[in-house]
Amino acid sequence: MKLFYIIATLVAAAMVATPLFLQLSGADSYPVGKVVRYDSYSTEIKSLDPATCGDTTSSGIQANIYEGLYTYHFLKRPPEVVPHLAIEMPQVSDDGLTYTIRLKPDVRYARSACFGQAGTRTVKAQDFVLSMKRVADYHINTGLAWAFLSDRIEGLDEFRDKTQKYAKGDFSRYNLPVSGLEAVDELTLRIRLTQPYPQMIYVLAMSVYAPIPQEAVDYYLARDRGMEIRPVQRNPEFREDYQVVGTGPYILKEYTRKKRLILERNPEFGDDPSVTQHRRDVYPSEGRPREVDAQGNEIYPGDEARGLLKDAGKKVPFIDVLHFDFVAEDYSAWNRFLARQTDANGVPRETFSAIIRPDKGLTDSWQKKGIVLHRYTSPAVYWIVFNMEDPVLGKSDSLRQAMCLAFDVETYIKVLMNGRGVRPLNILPNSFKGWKEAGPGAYAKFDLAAAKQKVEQAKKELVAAGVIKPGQDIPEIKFDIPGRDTDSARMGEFIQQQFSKIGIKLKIILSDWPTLQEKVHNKSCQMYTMGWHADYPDAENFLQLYYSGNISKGTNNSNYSRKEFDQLYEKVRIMPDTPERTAMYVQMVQMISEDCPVLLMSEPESFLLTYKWLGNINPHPIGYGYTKFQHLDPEMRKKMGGR
Amino acid sequence: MNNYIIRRLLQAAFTVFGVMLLTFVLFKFVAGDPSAQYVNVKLGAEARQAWLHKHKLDLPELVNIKEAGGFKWWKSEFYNSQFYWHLRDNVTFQGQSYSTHQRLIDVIGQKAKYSLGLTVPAMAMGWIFGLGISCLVAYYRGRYVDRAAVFLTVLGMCLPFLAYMIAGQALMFAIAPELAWGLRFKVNIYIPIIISVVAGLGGTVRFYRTIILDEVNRDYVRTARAKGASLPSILYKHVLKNCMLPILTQLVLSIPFLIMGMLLLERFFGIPGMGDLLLASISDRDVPMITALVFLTAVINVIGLLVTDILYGVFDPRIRLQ
Repeated sequence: MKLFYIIATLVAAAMVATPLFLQLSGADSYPVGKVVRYDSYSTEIKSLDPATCGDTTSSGIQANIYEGLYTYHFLKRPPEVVPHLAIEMPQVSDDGLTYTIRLKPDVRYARSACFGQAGTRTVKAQDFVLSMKRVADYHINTGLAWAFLSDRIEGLDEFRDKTQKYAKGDFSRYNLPVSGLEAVDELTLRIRLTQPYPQMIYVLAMSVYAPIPQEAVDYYLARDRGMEIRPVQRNPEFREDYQVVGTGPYILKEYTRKKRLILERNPEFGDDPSVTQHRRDVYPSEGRPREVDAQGNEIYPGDEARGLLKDAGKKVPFIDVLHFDFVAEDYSAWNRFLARQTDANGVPRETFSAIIRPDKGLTDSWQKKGIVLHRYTSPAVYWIVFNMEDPVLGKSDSLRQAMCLAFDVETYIKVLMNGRGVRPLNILPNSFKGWKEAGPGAYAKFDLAAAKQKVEQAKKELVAAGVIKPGQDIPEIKFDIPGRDTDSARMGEFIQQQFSKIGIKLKIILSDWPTLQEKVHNKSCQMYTMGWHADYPDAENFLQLYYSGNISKGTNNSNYSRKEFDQLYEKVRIMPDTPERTAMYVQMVQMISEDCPVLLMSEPESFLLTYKWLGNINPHPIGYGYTKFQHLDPEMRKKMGGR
Repeated sequence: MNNYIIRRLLQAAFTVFGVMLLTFVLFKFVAGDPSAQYVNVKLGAEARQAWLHKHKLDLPELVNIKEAGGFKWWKSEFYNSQFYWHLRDNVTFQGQSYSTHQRLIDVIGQKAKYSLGLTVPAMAMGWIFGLGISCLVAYYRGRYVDRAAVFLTVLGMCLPFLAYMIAGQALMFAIAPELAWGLRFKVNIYIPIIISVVAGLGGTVRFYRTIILDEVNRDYVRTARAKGASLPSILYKHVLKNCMLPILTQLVLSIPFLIMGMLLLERFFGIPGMGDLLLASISDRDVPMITALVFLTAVINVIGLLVTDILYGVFDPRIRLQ
């Protein structure tokens, strides 16, 4: 027995010491002199491959590693496209079908074993051809990247069909020609479209079409780091950190799923003596000027006044290492920020009113902690969708208009969104051309009396349509909300209350996102919440949601269909940016405002907190990859008790 | 004994098959279409269909009569169905996550050490402290020490686990922020371990105390006391030995589940273990990962129960397995 106790004690001691043997900790100390930014992220990174990138977290990370032909100016607003890996803006043929793009001659990939002894090479036009072919590849689970190229580039859809016949691991399919993608020479790319597409320049500004070297496909996908692997074992997507080969200011040093991601300065952007010719990207010298309204009141102080031009002309990036820890819980992320373990954080809902004043500024006590608030609107609109093919909602304009008038958007934003939003006046975000000109819709306001009148009108319309009998009430309407948590339930209750004021009964159905998507796809929802975040700064991105040709594609999920709207859409989608096009945009927006296929709920506002030691923060509404312009003062951070 | 083990293993195979069939039916007819989670709505219906095809979700559910040309069960095409692939991928651990494309075996390889680094020491420390405090409390039964201990254990059991975690982490952020989250240093992991032990001590002490007191009240202990043996020596030489059976079986039963981690602790303290894998897979509708975890849990459960039954026979000679 004595022996048993001795053995048991030793075993227990060994069990207690288990973590010391398992090497769980990863020291994150960096050499003295390195400027390191510490941050948290709470949503898993779903993709390291530009072709499969479709979520904001992955886009935010990838944009530091991969670069596209174009990008958005860091400071200028409204967003302005500028050359990135291209030497100048594209030459577009008169018919709008051919884009000829010349590349910068001195852009090199980050060093990688796939380039053999040389370690790197310059970017070629052929690399962009390969990139777009991969996006079109049937075997790659491309996200949004394919949506923007499908039916647009000559021969690319046929290429996609052909790739289906190849085995997943057979990359010889990338040798198939695509008539609309041509590397004219090493530094000239030509793209031929099937029809004019003025928004193509925005598409080319997305880093999902970053160049991909053939060597990376051969070395990392066709083989595993040079070692032969059987075709059935090959994966067509880049999924591991060592497979990532980009041209951006940072390289992916380490990535462990749901743990940590570390980006380090690409030596091409540094002063490493082993690199013969360094890349010289500089901080912009121009920004957004001071703006005043018609009465002379300042709307925006100007980037210079905000200190955003003090680093003009300096070489970037300023920060050597970007260290991201995966923090699943908002509570832990917030505490890390308060303990100065991270440099930036959002504002948690629970502490919002203690930190943010009613005028949406930061309270004095929090400013004294050395914290700075950054507030910005995203080009997104959230709404309630009415299924226009529903036998009740689709048959009465007045019913939908009544519901728009009865919904107290200001209270919704104040109570359910913590005030983090503004009332949308029409279907466009307030930063888009055409928004101001279109003005507020007649039903984009809270007016209960008018709503009740509309309800009476709606009953008449429904009787005339044979939906209800005279004297009958409007039938109960089903309302789907994507989410089964308490917040979704609260939203459901709030919305129910809003419409009960005008005698409309709602049945709230809480579903998860995939179930809702399926119901939307089957057109079995009557009403549900949805939203749209702009892919590019052009109103067409929102107007296409109401084009009847997109009902079958799934993007027009209100099933809205109006001949005049469709006719205008078919004209505007091939028109360049002109006052005439803007006028047509305005007409279309006003049609939507009149017909009310959606009830506008909010344009979201985001709040970001940073410490004073982190500078040049200017969140971009559309683009990614601007961490290279951020400036960090490690001495100040240390003095203020940070890492 | 060998016949018993073989019989139990055969039963286990049927049990696990039943679990897999039930899982398949539930996910098929209740959970709906997972493609909505993975195919962006902007890509349209064609992309959705392509995704379903890639993941073999457009095959017939149970058997493939069309491909086999009739109910020809002797043909391999007959089995080219969703259920067949579901079973095959889970039994061979080859199913790939829809979101990360990893196999469960790869995930376990990456994450298991973090979960084990948390749960193994927590179990050991819980056992050591629980047993030690229980013996002390049993020795001082009826006195202030015992009453205070009972009060504290009940109080400890009333407090929710979340309260321990939040309070513990808040305290660490105030004292030593570098230790309050993550695994930056080797000692970091002992913070959530200590929180776990303290939170579970109440229930552990109550359980062990009951077992020890049950044993202490037996005739042989009274006889030994009457003969002049001291209570500590009786506890050490006789009582603890007889208490080992229920204590060890409880411990052994929990061993297979150590690998599954502790969801809340891992999430709050940034430990990249297996704890939230099931929850994350459910919210992501990552069906291959969910079914693989269900399969793994079923196998662990079945083996755990078998091992426990065998150990009963080892610890208690009165028990013979037939």
